[in-house]
Amino acid sequence: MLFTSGEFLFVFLPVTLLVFFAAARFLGKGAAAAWLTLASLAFYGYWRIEHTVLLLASIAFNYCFGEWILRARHRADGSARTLLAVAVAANLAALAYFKYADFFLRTAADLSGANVPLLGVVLPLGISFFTFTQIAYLVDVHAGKVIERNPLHYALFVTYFPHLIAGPVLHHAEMMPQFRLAEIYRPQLRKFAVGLSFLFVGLAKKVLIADTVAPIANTVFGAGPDVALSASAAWLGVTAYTLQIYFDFSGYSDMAVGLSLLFGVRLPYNFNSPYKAWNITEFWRRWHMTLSRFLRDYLYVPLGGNRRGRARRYVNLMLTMLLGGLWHGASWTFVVWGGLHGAYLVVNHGWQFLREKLGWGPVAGVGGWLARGAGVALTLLCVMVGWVYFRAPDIASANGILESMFGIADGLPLSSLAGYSQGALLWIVGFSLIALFSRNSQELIDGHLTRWLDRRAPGAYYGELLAVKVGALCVGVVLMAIAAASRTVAEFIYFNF
Amino acid sequence: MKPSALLTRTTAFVAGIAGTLLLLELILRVLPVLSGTYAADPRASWPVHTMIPDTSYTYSTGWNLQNIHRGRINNVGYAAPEDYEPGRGGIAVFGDSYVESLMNAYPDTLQGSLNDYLKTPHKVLNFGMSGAEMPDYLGTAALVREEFAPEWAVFVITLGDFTRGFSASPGYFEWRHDRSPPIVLKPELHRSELSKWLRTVAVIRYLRGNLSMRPGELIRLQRGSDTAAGTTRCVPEVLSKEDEELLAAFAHELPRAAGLAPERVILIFDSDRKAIYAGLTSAERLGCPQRATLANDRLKELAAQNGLRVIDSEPVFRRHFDAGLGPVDRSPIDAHWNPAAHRLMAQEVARVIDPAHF
Repeated sequence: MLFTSGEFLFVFLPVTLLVFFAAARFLGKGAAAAWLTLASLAFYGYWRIEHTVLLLASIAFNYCFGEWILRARHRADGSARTLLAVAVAANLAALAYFKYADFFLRTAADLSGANVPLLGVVLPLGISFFTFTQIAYLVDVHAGKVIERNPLHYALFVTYFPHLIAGPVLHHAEMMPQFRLAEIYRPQLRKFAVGLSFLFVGLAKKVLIADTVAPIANTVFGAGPDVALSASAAWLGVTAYTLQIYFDFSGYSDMAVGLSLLFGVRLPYNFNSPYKAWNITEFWRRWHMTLSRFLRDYLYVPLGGNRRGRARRYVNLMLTMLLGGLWHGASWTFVVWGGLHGAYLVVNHGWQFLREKLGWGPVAGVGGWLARGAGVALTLLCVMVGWVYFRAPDIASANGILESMFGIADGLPLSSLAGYSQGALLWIVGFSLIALFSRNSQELIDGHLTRWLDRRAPGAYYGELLAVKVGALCVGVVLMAIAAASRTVAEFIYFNF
Repeated sequence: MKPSALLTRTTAFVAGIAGTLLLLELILRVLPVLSGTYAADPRASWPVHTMIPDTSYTYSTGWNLQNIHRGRINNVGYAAPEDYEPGRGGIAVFGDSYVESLMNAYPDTLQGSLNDYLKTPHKVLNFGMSGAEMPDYLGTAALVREEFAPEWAVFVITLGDFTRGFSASPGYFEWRHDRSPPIVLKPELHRSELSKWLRTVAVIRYLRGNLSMRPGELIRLQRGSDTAAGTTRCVPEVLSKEDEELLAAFAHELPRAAGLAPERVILIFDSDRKAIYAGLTSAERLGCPQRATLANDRLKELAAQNGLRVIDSEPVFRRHFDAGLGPVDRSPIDAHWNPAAHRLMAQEVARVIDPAHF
C-alpha cells in the first residue's frame, strides 16, 4: 500500500483515523493506541503477511532485552553490557541474513570462482529502519537514557505506519512520550490543516516531480554497461536522478510528517534543502537528517568520533560512511557511494583544518557570495557523482556513465533517450530551480502557514477558516492520488532499503 | 462542539472543496486540456463508434499537459484533416488508438506519411478508432467497403486485439462464435444531455482524459508484495478451439469484408518492444506463453496461408533500435508508436503496395 495509492488514501487512512479518534473518545487512550498499532501492523502485512511475524518477533525480542538490560544495570556485574551485546548482535544477524546473505554469498562466489548457490531471501520491507530504531533503544536503555517503557507505546513506536517502511529513522525519546499526551487522542482541525498541507506537498513532490523525471533517469541508468552515451545524455540522466531521489524521498518524508500530524504526532524533519549545501558536511546535515543523526550518535561517536586525534577521526568518518552506504543496499555500488562520501568528508574536514591553520577566515561581500556559490556547485557536483554509483545497477555501468559525463566516452545522443523532449528538458530545468532556490516544505508550512494561522487564532471564524483550508487540501490530495494512479505503480525509492 | 459550530464548519469545509474545484475549472479552461474526443450519437448510416463529425480536438497527456496536438475530426468522425468522399477508392487504414494516433501529428502517422513513400500518391483514409479491436476491423471494413470501396486495406494488429474483442464497449463489434462473420455490433449509446454537458467540464476532461481516471481502478485492493518483490508469475496459457476458429474465420473473412483480393489486404503486427529494448525475444521476456501473444502469432500464420500480406514490425523495430536510433514508443509511459515507428511501418506498407519503387 503506497501512500500515493487510492486504497491507502481513501480506505486505510480514513478508517484508521475515524476508529482511532472514536476509540479514544469511547474506550480510552490505551484502546486508541492499540488500534493504531494493529492498523500499522495491517499496513505492514498488506505487502507480505509473513513478514509481520518477523516484525512482531523483533519487537518482542528487543522489548524483553530492554527490560532485562535495565534490571541488569542495577547489578553492576557487567551482565547488562553482555545482554546489550547479545541483543545488538542478534539484530545485526537478522539484518545480515535478510538483507545481506545473498550479497555475501555472491561476493564469496566472485572471489573464489566457486558456484555458490544463493538463498533467495526476500527482503522484509523496512527491516533496516525498524532494526536501527530498536538498536538505538537498547543502547539508550543500557546508557540509562530511557524513561518511557510502556510496552504498547514501544510497539506503536516501532510499527507506527507513517515511518515504518521508509523512515524517518525515529528515536524513542522523541516518539514514545508523545503517545502519553492526551491531546493527540482528540481530533484538532489545526493539526489536520497542517498535516494535510504536508501530505499534499509530499504527494506533489512524488507524483508531479519525482515520477515525471524518473523515465529519463531510468533510460540512462538502464542503458547497461555496453551502451555508451553522449555527455549531454549522461548529464541529463544524472540530473534527472538527482532530482528524482530528492523529491521522491523528501516527498515521502513530508507525507510521513503530514500523516502523523493527522494523528497529532510530530515526526522529525528528514530534509532541509540539501542541494543548497555549500559543503559536504553541510549536505549531510540537510540530507536524510534522521539517518545522519543515528549514524553520528550510534556509530561515529562510539567509534571515538573526533576525540582520538585527526587521523582517527578521518578513519571513523570513512568507516561510518562505508557502513552507511552498505545500510542502503546489499551491493558494492552502495559501498562505493558510501566510500565516496567518506572521502568527501575527509577532504572537507582536512580543508577546514588547513584553513584554520593558515588563518583563512570567512570572506565577506561579493567574494563571499561567489565562494559560497562555488561551494554549492562543487558540493552538488560531488553529490551527483555519488548518485551515479547509488543508482547504477553495477559499478561497470556507473563507470560508463561517468566516462560519458566527463567526455571520456561518447555515444547515444540526447534525442535518442526514451522520454526525452524539449518539454522534458524544460521541466528538469524548472525542478532544478525549485530544488536550488525555493523554500522547502517545512519553511513553507511550519513557517509561513502556521504563522499565518497563528495570527488569526483565536479570532472569529478561525475554525471555519481551517475547515475551508482542510476542504481545499482534500481536493488537492484526491487530485494527487488520481495523478498517481494515472501512471504505472511507482514504488518509493527508499522502499528498497 | 456546539451543533451550530459543527454546521458552519461543515459548510465551510464543503465551500473549501467547491471553491477549489471552481478555481481549478477556471485555470483548466485556458489550458490545452484534452478535449473534442467525444463519442458521436448513433447514426444509422455509420453505426460504429466515432467521434462527433466536423469538429476539432486538442490532445494532451499527463498532469502537465505534455505532447499537445490539435487536429480535426472529419465528416465521418475520424481524426483526419480531410473529409472522405464516398466511392473514391484509395488505401483504408484500420486499427485502434495506434492508428487513430492523436498523440502524434497527423503527417507523422502511418496514414499521414504513407504518400511520402509511394511513387504515385493515393488517397489514404484513416479508420483508426481508440478502443477498436479485431472484431471491429472486420465489421468496420465491411462498412468502409460499402461507402468508400478502397483499393487497399491496411490493418494494424496490436497485442490484446484478439482477447479484448470478447468484451466490447457500446458502439464496437465483439466476437460472436455462432455467427458468420463471427461478430456482432453492441449498439452505440444515446448519451444524455447531462453526460454531454459533463464532458465539456474542464476538470472532468482533465481527470478522465489527461489523468486517465477510472473510478473503479482508483482503489486497487491488491497486495503489493508481487510488485514490491518485482516478480512476475508465469501462468502458461493456450488458445482454445474456439479461439482457433475465430482467428481462422477472421483471416478468411477479412478480404471479403474489405471487398478486396487477399493480396490487397495488409496486416501489420506490432511487436513486443520491451523485449527488443532488453535485447531478448518476446518468449524470453515473457517466460511463458500468453493467450494474446499466441493469438497474434497464430493469426500471422493464418493470414499468410490465406494469401494476405503480413508485415512483422519486430525485425524492423529491432533494426532501428539496434542501430542506436532509440525506442519507437511515444514515451516511457505511453506505449503507442512514435513518429519513427509510424514512418517505418509506412515504408513497409509502401514496399508492399509499390514494390517497383523500392
